Amino acid sequence: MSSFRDRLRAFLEANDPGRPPKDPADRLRHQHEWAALLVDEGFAAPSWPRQWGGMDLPLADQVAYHEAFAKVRRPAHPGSGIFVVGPTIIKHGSDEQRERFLRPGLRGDIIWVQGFSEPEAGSDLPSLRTRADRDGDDYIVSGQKIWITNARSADWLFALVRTGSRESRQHGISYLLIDMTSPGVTVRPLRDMTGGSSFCEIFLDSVRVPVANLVGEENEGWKIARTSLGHERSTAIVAQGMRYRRIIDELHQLARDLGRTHDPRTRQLLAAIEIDVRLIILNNTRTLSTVLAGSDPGPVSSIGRLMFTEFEKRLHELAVDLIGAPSMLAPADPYSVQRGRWVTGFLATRASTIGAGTAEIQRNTIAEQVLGLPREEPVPVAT
Amino acid sequence: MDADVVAVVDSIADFFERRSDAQAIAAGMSAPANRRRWTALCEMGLPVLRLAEPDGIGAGLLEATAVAERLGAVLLPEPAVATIVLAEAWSTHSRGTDFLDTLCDGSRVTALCGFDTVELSREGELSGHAHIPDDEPTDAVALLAHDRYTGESAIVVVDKTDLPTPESRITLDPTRPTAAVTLDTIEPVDVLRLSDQAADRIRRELALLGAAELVGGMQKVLTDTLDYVKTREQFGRAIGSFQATKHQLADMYIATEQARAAVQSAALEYVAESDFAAAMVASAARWVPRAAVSMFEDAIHLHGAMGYSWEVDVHLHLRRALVTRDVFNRSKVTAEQLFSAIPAGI
Repeated sequence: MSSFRDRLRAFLEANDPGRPPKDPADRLRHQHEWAALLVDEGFAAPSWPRQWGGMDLPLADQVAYHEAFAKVRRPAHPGSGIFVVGPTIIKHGSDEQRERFLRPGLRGDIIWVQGFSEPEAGSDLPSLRTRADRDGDDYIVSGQKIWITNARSADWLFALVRTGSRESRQHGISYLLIDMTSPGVTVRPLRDMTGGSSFCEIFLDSVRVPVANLVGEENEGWKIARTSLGHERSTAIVAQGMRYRRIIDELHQLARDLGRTHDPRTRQLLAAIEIDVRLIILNNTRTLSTVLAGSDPGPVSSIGRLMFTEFEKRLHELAVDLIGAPSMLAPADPYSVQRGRWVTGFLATRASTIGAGTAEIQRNTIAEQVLGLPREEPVPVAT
Repeated sequence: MDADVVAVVDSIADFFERRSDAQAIAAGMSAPANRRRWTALCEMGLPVLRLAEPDGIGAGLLEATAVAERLGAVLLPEPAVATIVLAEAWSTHSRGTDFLDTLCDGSRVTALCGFDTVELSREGELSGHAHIPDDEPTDAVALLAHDRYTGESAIVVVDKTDLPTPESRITLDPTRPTAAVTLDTIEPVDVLRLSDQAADRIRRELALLGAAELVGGMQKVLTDTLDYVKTREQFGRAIGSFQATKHQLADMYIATEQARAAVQSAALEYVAESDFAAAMVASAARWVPRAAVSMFEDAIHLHGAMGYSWEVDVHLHLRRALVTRDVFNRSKVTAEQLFSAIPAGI
């Protein structure tokens, strides 16, 4: 185990592509080169089989991997959707799909994005309406997907589509891989409340998709979409805790730089957020140690996400309050604090309790699946 | 409330309903402040709201908070509240008629920036730091100053063309971009000498009406969020029918009403010149922006992913509330003042 850590440390020390370029196209190339290097040198996808470009590491080494990467600044993956679609293809895909998509996706040669949400299907994802109708060896796909991250540079979309009857809910959903260059695919950027447009919506107008791009069986997409490899989420969560440990340390430094560490109110606020981050890390550790001991963490892991999203909001509220006026300056302003990072983060984290399952959905899950409370009234069939 | 004042409040609401200004402001254009809209509002008598009849409308501070709510609901970029306060202050000026005329007919847009205090030297020159509107229509700014000559206060008017290049730009609230400037031996074009007490009154009125603008924003956001949760369906029913959603909206309503109560009762105490007035204004200035920030965050959440989009304008209200909270924090109308102003003494 220590030899793996040593090899990893040596690799990271020897390889540092430096700060990302400002120009978006250059930045994408920068990220692509790094992702490809990781695959080629055998330092990508710790939980994936070697056959598909991964490392097939034991759980303890996966943790070490995430720890090491969280400590250093390295380029983000250019198409992180592969880490969602990849495990699904590994478990449920055809050999042809595995050959064609896994390694290129990891290397960043293919940029994957996720098309699950629709304008009318957010929290209630099983009500999604994008239709895929069989026509010979193809599906004809029509509908609209929304809140897709970085769709403008995407090559492939993995989408949930309706193949069953309108009322079939999760029993009539299929998992489809869609080539973004297909005729009938239109991408439109969305302006979000930070002023940026990292999200897009995708319109699908009678797009022909070969049946060979179906993952698993028709109408089995709902279950398939929940695939993950072993306990990779529990190990990856380590990185998240470490990242926020680092951010809190930076916040402490900021308080020192601003000369605020003697202010009693600031001290109280910093102490409160310090407790928060420690609790999150402890909770992650608890989940992880259960996994490492070979058992299922069960209900404990469902606490993590809710804690984390609400913490993220509080942290940025605190930072903006602490910095005051300079946090509100334009990023390029000479007096701005860390290029406006905190107020941008403040605005961006308002989405934390919305995206990937609202706080209400998370609490319902805990209330019903962990505490065993009765479900709300049965859902009437949508008309 | 006086019938004339109610008529003005209604006509302002109607003004924004008839025109597409509210949408245009929310669209987040690069130059939100608009001279033509301002002229139209001036024709309706907005700047003379608090001046005595027959020249003015004769509204009191409580009535002015109702007007400010309407302005805050549409995130009006022009310095309406500042002008209402400035016009009333300036009307005491013995030789102030010309200035007052151009201020009130909108031909010379003069923004009162009362949350910074600059220095007016014995020689009549200005120095210090100020935050001013960073937009095209502003022709001049009026600042509160410590007057070295009298040892008390003054309102000083500086032509925009005499101001130095801004050092910093606060762009967080795109409906009211602000610039920070440092004044160095600048000569004001006009000076109105005041007692310190009168200057504090101006600060309090500005803070109270600024808080009232936020209350208007809270009311608007509450109404919009209610509409959204009644029409947005998930799981085959309106999301407003889920208890978790209902409770959040009930809390948002409570926050709005409490904020309004804080502002209105402060206005009443202020008008009655009660011993509590300063403390009540400080309470509202402290509490309302915080309540607004938190309520707007909840409103974004309740709009789901749409709340995170630019087109749903709750984030503009949030941005303004953040900036207002910070401006009030830096001003003389602070919680510190609250404690010193509580008669029992804490």
